[in-house]
Parts: sequence; structure tokens; C-alpha cells
Amino acid sequence: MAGNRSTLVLSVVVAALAVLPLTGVPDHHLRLVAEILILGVAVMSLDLLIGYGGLVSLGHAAMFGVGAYAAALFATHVSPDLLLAIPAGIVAATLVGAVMGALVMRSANLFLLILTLLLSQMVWEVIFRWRDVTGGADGFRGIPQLTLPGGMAIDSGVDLYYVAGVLAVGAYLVAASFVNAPIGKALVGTREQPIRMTALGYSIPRIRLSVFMVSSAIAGAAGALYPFVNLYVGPQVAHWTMSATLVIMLVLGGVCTLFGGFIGAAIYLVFQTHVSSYTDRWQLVVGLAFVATVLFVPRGLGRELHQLLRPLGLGEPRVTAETDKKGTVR
Amino acid sequence: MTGHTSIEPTGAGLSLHGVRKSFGSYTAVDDVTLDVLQGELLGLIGPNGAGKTTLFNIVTGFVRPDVGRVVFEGADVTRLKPDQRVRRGLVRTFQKSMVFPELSAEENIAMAARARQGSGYAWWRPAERAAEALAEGSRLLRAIGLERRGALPVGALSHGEQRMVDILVSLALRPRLLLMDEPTAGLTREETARVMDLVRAHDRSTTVVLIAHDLDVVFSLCERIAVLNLGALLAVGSPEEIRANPEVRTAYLGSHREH
Repeated sequence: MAGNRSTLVLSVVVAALAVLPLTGVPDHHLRLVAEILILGVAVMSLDLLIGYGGLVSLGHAAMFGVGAYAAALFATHVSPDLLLAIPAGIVAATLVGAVMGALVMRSANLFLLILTLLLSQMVWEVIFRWRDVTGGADGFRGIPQLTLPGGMAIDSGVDLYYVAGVLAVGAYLVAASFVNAPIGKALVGTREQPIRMTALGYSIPRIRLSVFMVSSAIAGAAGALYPFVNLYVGPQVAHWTMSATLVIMLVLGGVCTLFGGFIGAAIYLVFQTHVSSYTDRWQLVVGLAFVATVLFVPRGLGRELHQLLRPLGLGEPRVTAETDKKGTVR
Repeated sequence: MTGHTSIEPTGAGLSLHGVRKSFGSYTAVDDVTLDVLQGELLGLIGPNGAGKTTLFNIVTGFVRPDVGRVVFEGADVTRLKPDQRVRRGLVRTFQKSMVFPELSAEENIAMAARARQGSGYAWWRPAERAAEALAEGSRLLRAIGLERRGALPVGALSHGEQRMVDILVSLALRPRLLLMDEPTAGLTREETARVMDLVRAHDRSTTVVLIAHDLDVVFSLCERIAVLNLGALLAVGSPEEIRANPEVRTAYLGSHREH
């Protein structure tokens, strides 16, 4: 059964991630992998909107940014406890996502893109102008290290890496359960045949609002951990250019795969880290990679990987999951 | 259901009162008043552009009438959205098949069955509801003899099979009133008979309104026939009455066709 196979793949990935620090990888590399995992979660949450819902949002950074600031503020002023600060970010991002979702749930296509862009820029403005609370353009500094419930600080790259790993696996399981549940199938239905879905008695705005909230919650969780990578958060995390970066990562990694988000984030951040040490024009290289992806692997690297693995029986089921399952059962 | 404010005499499943719809200067539906009786099979015929599909769109809520009221089972539904009407059992099929080509036939039907169960938006679902929805798919596919095609993506099925799946999807909603827009186009005689038998056998109390270009189908199956011409209702009656109606003969049936 396809379900067992994807469990197997997931287990192998998790095991590989778990033993990575034991292989003597330098601490700062682990920090980079942690950042990849965090941004990968944000991209994966965007995949729910763009890939599964066909809702091309250019405002996803608003939720990531609100999650980041909420968790940073909470950790600074209330408690640096991981189990409280991260949920604070999730709650804040979900609330913003609910408002944004309610405002855009009746639109689609270009109109939705512009609306999400506008609304997210309003969020960015608030963060940018509200100096007393957010530090404005200078960003927010003096964030304490997160602590585990026992009070142990999460201070090394290894610790951060493990926390990001748990976040990534948890977020993946949540997103995968969403797309495999009736609500996820209804979401794909609204992307494929919106009129038919209405004629089946489904309320399209209700489905869109649901996916906005789930996607925002996951983006908020990723955002919530992000400030603790460098103990700093700046307003650019909520800027529309950040949203665009998330979209680029998604296209690089592969739309409608969920795990493609991690691949896209890895490519982008590795380029950013390594190419930028040779040239300031590293974004040109990312741009070329983006163009090459669109031209040669338009479905993204994640999909190609998925296609390569399929003959080995390792392909991950996606939209047509039911067909696959039935096909093998019968 | 809202409280049964029985505006209508019992027996009328659907009533249209003075319904009119214009697109610019073109009047697509012109002052149509019509009662469809509970449980009957009514044929809706008329030349191209007579307003048949627009009338379906008005009944199902995809188009708002300029004037007039739509009353379904005693309740005014004129202001309800399409999905709200579907949840009351007012279901339609489309002229063109509207299936989800990437999903299997069973999954297509299950999507409808879940909507009817009320588990369509579920995330943490009880497994038995999901199994029930898929079982409904297999049951309906078996009833029409497509059970061996159930696991294939619908896009891989033949045109006629896709049409049949499309109708099964509508039946999975357990309609009280089923509006079928050209369901038999592209089907063979034998397939048409299978489909219409299934629709009638599914639930005798379901009211069916059928648009079909194939007049043989309409005249042989329907208990009553309504004729639209240029947006206006020309005549309503039994197949014999319609055949004998001189106005209908000139406007629609013409001299080239004898029934």
C-alpha cells in the first residue's frame, strides 16, 4: 500500500535527520539546516494554498512574520518556554490568516494575488511603523534563547536543529493529514471544478477559509521558531518580497508535493549561503536557477524526484492518492 | 428546512412564479410560471436558445431571476445560493460532463456522498463515514454496470462512461428534485435506457426535469412535457397533448418530424 511506503520514506528521512549531528557536521552547518527546515515548513504551508487550492497568494510572509514577531515578543516579555512561545506565534498567525482568508475567500486568480499582496503589506506597515513594540526598521533584538519546559536553554546549533526537525515532521504530518482528509479533497475539487463543487453543495468560501487558516497556522509555527536562529527578527520577514521568495522556493522544489517545500528552501538557502561568498550577485544565480527550473523541470525538482522514485515503489501519493491505493488493492 | 410555510397546494415539488431573466436587451426567460409535481418526470423541450438552460440556472441558483419566485417544496428559495439549494435536495447535472478527471470514479461519487453526509469538510474523520462514502460509489457503479471501471481515473473513461459517472455523482446527493441538462447526449440508446432506468429506480419520489434534444427519449419517458420557445412557456401537457398542439407543431416540432 502506498500509505505504508510513504511512512517508510518518512521514517528513513527522519532517521537520517536524527543521526546527522552525530556525523561531525559543524555547528553552523546545522544552523543552516535548521533554517532550511524552518523555511521549508513555511513553503510547504504555502503549497497548501498554491498547489492544492490553486490560490496563488503573494501575502504568505505576513503570517510567517506575525508568527515570528509574536513568538519573539512573547519570549521576551512573558516566557521563553518553547511550549508557550511557539503556540503564541501559531495563534497570532492563525488570527491574521483568518482575517485575510475571510477577506479573500470570494476571490481567485489575479484578484486574489493582488488582495493578498495588499493585505500582507498592511501587516508589514504595522510591524515597520510600530517602533515601540517591534523595533521598527531596526528589527527586534535582545530575544532570549528558547528554553525547554525544564528550563534548559536551546542554545547550540544542534539543539535548534532538533527543534526545527521536530517542527518539520510535525508540520508535515499535519499538512499531509489535511490533504488526505475530505477537506483536502474538497480543496482540490475547488481547484479543478469549482462550479461542480458548488453544484455538489460545497461552499467554496468555507473551503478556502479553512485552508487559509491551516496554512497560516503552519506558517506561523515556522515563523515562531525563526527569530531564535539568530536571536533577531527584522520587518523584512513580513515583506512581500519574502512572500515572493517563498513562491520561488515552492516552484524550485515542486508544487503540490508538500515535501518539495523543503527541497526548494534548501536550494535557495544553499545558494544564498555559498554563492554569496563568491559574488554579491547571488540572486542572479537564483534567478537563473528559477528560469532553468521553469524551462526544464516545470513541475519542480520535487515532482521529478517523485517520478524517479515511483518505479522503485517509493513515490509519494499526491492528488490521485485514492486511485493509486485502489489500483494496487484490486 | 425552514418552517413549512405551505404556500403551494400539496403536490407541487417545484413552482416557478412569473420568472423573467434578461441579459442586456435579450430576454432569455420571459415570465415563466410552471408547477412541477412531486415525483413526476417532466420533459423540458424547445429549440436552441429557447431558455431551457437559463431556466435550470435560475432554479438551481446559478443565475438570479430579474423578477419572479422559485418555490421548492413549499419554501421560497429565490434568494438562496446554489450550494444551499443543493443541501435541500435541489440537484442538477450539466450539459457538459463536470467530473474530476484525475480522481477515480469511486472518488468522484464519494465527493458527492461526503457532501450529503455532511462530512465533506471533515479533517479528523471517523473512518466509517469515509468507507460509507466510498461504498456508495461502488454501489452506484455496480447498479449501472461500471463496477470494473470504478478505480480508474475518470479522465481515462469513454465519453459515455464519463457522462454516466457524472449522473451517478448527482444521484449520490440523493436529490429530491433532479434537473438533468442533456444527460443522454453522446450516450447510445442502450446506455440512455440504463441511465434513465437507474434514475427512476433510485428513488421513485424524486422529481426529475429532463432537457433532451432527442425527442424520442422525451416523448417515450416523460409523464408531462413543457415546451419553451423564445424564453416563454408555450405549452405544458401530456405527450399526446403536446404532439397534438398546433402551436408547438409550428414553433418547434415543425413539419419535418412526425410523432
